[in-house]
This record gives sequence, structure tokens and C-alpha cells, in this order.
Amino acid sequence: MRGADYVIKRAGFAVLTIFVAITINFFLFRVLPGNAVADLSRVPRATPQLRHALEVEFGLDKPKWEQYLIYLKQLAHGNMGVSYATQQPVSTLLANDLKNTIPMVAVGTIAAILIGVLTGILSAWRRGSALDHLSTNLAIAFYAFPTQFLGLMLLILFASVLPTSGMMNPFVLGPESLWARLKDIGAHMILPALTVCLTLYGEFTLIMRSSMLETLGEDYVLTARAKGLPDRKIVSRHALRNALLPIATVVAISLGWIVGGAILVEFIFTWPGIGWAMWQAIYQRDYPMLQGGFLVLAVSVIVLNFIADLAYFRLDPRIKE
Amino acid sequence: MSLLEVRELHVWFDLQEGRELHAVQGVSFGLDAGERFGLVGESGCGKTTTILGLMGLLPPTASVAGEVLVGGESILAGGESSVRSHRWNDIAMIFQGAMNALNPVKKVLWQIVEPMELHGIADGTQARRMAGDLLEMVGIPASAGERYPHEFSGGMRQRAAIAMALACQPKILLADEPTTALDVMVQAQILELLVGLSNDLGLALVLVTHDLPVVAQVCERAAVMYAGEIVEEGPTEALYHAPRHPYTRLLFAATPDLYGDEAVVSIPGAPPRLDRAIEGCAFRPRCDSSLDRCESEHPEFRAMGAGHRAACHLNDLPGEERAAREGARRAGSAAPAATPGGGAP
Repeated sequence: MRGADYVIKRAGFAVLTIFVAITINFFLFRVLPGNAVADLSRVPRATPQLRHALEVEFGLDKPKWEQYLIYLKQLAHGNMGVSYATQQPVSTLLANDLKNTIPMVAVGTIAAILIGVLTGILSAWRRGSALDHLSTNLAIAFYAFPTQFLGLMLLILFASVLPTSGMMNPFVLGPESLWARLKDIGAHMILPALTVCLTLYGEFTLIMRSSMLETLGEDYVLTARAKGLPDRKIVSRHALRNALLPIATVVAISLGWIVGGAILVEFIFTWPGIGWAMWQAIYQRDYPMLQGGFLVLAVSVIVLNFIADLAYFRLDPRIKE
Repeated sequence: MSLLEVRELHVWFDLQEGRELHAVQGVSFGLDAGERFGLVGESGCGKTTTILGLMGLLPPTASVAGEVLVGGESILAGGESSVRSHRWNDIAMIFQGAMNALNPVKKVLWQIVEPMELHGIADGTQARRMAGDLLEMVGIPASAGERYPHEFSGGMRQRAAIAMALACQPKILLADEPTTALDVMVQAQILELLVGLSNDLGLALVLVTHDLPVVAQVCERAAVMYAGEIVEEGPTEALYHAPRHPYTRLLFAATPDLYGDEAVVSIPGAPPRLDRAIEGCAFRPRCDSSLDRCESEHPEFRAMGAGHRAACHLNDLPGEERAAREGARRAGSAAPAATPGGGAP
């Protein structure tokens, strides 16, 4: 059957990539100067004995390769370890962070994809028009702005109208209806999600526009016109699907980053998500937390990439095993 | 009245700074049902622009003037939405890029059925059956219609494109370099197929090509284009044996002849730029037998005999003198290259 080989090959490749990512994550953070114990025992008069006791407790006295083997073995059993900083299971902490991150980044990213693809198609279709110039220049501008700059500008502009920090109003005490709570979270979400959306959408506009223009110049589009098809049908039946092919990969990778969060955006708006947690973990040399976070990120990007490969396979009949 | 009548077709392309490129300069020709007509000339002389223009398929930067009559009805007069109903219904096309004329992500049969449903010829199972019959007619098993274009060879793709062109039973088929990308064997098969179809279905065929032997093999009549104009038109035989324009003569001389001993002679220089007005005869700088008046006077397109017309001042000279001029230049191997340094001999 066409495809079985392709899927197996792609899946095997994905698993291998995940393993490599796990390994790199493990060693990468241990190359950083300083270690967890130095940070934890940063109390006056921390004795060498105390440090040593902590090192033994966390298993940091063992050789690196042994730590690595223990890590792999535990991971295979689904145990991501305990945070050095909070003594709580990493999986619990990450689940909690993801619960906060995913809605915010997902709203921003999906809006960016929709806006970008639509404006890209319109730009290409009405090439050279005022609309095209406006949309392309805006896309380039937003694509070029650094996230932190755009985030701060939005923060300054809207600070008086919208909440700029955290995920919900900390001063609401006592019971609150579900609806009121959702409204509060939604209001807090607007600025960070908007920042995510604006920094991402330009790329989609530009890729979609150039892909669409290329497709519109193809002979089969001329054939479609010669057949007497109206413009709208030429775009929807003949150009769109071919033009979407290069977008599939970019979309999948962006969706993968939803889970990784947007460290800069979460930092600017103090959004208690996985990006924020990663930043803190780096600061505290919280190895298990870092490994866990980056594992989640790597797995999601790789899995989405795998899905993109499958989508590509369905969209383009030319792809063979 | 001819089936297809093109009258004084002009095409201009907008360039930057308000300049214009006059790509097609008053082209007229006509053809009857079942007739095969060749449109020949070098690259860039306006052949493809002419046939895209007569179907209204040029990009928005082009402006078109002139009349295109199909069965007496002017098809360009009503603008885009009215010409659309004539496309594929009356005039269908096969394109240069046989490889890319089919959409790579759609099955072949679907692409043949599409215009049938669009123009209300047939739909559903009936359309699919008709499309299958068309495939059989061009020599492809109907079951192959369930495959994608990339699963076809180059020759099969061009056959499928021909089947697709026949979907709405058009009266006129425009074929733009239909065999350029194919190897010689396949090329011969495709030409044979086109000739057969025009004989069997009474299809009027316009064959656009730079390949003169192809025209000689397929078409009864042909027109030679140079710099956006038709410079000579007539029966293919007459063009070959008794050309009345130096460009036609030189084009044939530039074609390798399998049995002949004559050396292949190339035409020095390149076609002129069309973004400014040309004074006199456009071919004069490359002509091997030009006269003084060619420089200032644009030659008129005049009848030379039955169905034979040409635009050249040499035709005003008495027969012997003309022959002498051409013969002398041809015999003298030091042909006067009018454009210095242009073109290798």
C-alpha cells in the first residue's frame, strides 16, 4: 500500500530525533556554569558538609554518564523527576504551566495563521493593488519587529485599558461565577495573545503571498483560465491547494511552539505559563524542570512536524515513499 | 464566412514610465472548419501573444484591440465574463508546457470532466464516461484517468491535454508549440493524432510553432510572423517553393534538410525591439536583399496569387530582377550581414 512505508520511516525518524533531543537537553544544562546546589545553598555560612549532603540527595555526586543513565531509565518509566526548587513532581508543575500557556499561545498562533494565510492570498490575487502594498508592508514591518519591542509597545499603549500582567485579577476574593472568571482571563489574555499573533502573522503573509504568486504563474492556472473558469474558482480549485503545500510545514512548526510557549511574551506580561517557568528554572539551575520543559517542547515540535509530513503526503500525490 | 476570423488584432503591453510594447501589430487571418493553419516565426515575434490575445487570456498589463469572430460572433466585445463562455466551448487550447498544463494535485479524469460540468455539457457519471471515451480516443486507457499527471509520461500528458481540450467539443483548437518538449518519436505521434482529430472531427487547428518541418507536415496553410506582424501568408507549398518574403526564404534556409546537401544558413541579428515605433520594414536590418526604400517605407501586405499574400517591396520589382537580387546574394557566400557583429554564420 502506498504510504505505509512512508509513515513508518517518518515515525522512526521522529523517535530518533526525540532521543537526540533528550540527550542534548541533559548535557546542555550541565555545561552551564554553576550548579543547583550552589544556588540552593546560597545561604549564609553554608558549610561544605551541607553542600555535599545536598549533592548526594539530588544524585549530583555521581558521574555525568551515570546520572544520564538514571535519567533515561526514570524517563522510560514516565518519571520526569522532582523540581529542585519546589520539591514538587516536574510532571505536575509542567501540566499546570501548560494549562496556562496553551490557550494564550494557541489563540495568538491560530489567529496569526488565519490572518497571514488570508492576507497572503488576497495580496497575491490583487497583486500590485493598494491593498497588496499595504498588506505586504505591514507584514514586513511586524515580521521585523522584535517580540520584546512589540510587546512593550502594546503594554505601554494599552496599559490604561487592558490588564498587562498575570492571568487573572489577584484582588478578587471570595467566590466568583465561572463566566466572570473566564471574562477576566480573556481580558488578561488579549495583550499577550495579540503580541504572539502580530509577531507571527507577517511571516505567513509573506510566504503565502509568494507561494500563491508562483502558483498563479503556473501553466495549469493558465489552462484553468482558458477553460473558462471564473477567477474565484481558479484560485480555490487550482491555485490554493498547490500554494498551501509550502505553508504546511511552517504551520506545523508554529503549532509545535504553542506548547513551548513564548518565553519573551510570557516574561513581559508575567503570564504564568511554561515559558515563564523555563526562565525561572534556568535562573535556579533546576535541571529536572529544564529537562522536562525542553522535553515537552522538543516532543511537540517533532510530533507536529511528523503530522506535517503526513499532511504533505495527503496534499501532494507526487510524494512517494 | 470563415469559422474563425481574426481582424486587425493589436496587443500592447504597458511598460514602466508610460511606455508601451506593441507586441502584435494588426494580425489578421481566418480559417474554416477542418482546416489546419500554421503560425510560424522566431521566438518573441508575437505568435503566442496572438493566440492568447484572441482568447482574452493576456495579463491585465496588456491591452487588446481588434476583432475576433467565431462563426460571425465577436467574442472579445463583451469583456471577460462573456468571453469566458466561449473559452473551451468554441476555442480550446493545448499549451507549450505539456508537462505543466495539468494540475499536479488533481486526477486526470477530474480535469477533463471539469470544463464539461462548467459549460453544462454533461455532469456526473455521464461526464466521466465521456471523459473516459476521450482518453481512449487519444490512445490512453480510460482507467488511467484515475491517476495523477506525474504518473504519466510526457507524451501521455500531452495526449491527456489534448483529450482535455476536446472535452466541450470545440470547433477550434489552438496548439501552442504542442510538441516542443517531446522527443522526436512522440512528437510524430502527437502530430499524427492532431491531424487525425482535425480530419475526423472537422476541427480547425491553429498550430503555433517555430519548427517549419512540423508546419509543412501538418498544415495546408501558414502565416509567417515577424516583429508582431504577419509578413507572408499562403499555402505551405507556396511558402516553401516560392516564398515572396526574404524572411520566409531565410527561415526555410535555416532549417536543416535531412536529404538536401545545402548548408544550413542562419539569419544574422535578432528581431527588433517593439517598444518603439519601427520606420520602414522591420526586417530590413537583417534582410539580405533590401532596397533603399525599405528603410523609410513600410511595405504593404498584398496579394501575390491565389491565397498568397506578402509584405515586401521586392515584389514590386519585375520577376527576373527580383530573382537576380536574391540569387546573387545567396550565391555570394559573403552574405552582407547588415547588422554588424550580429549572429554567427
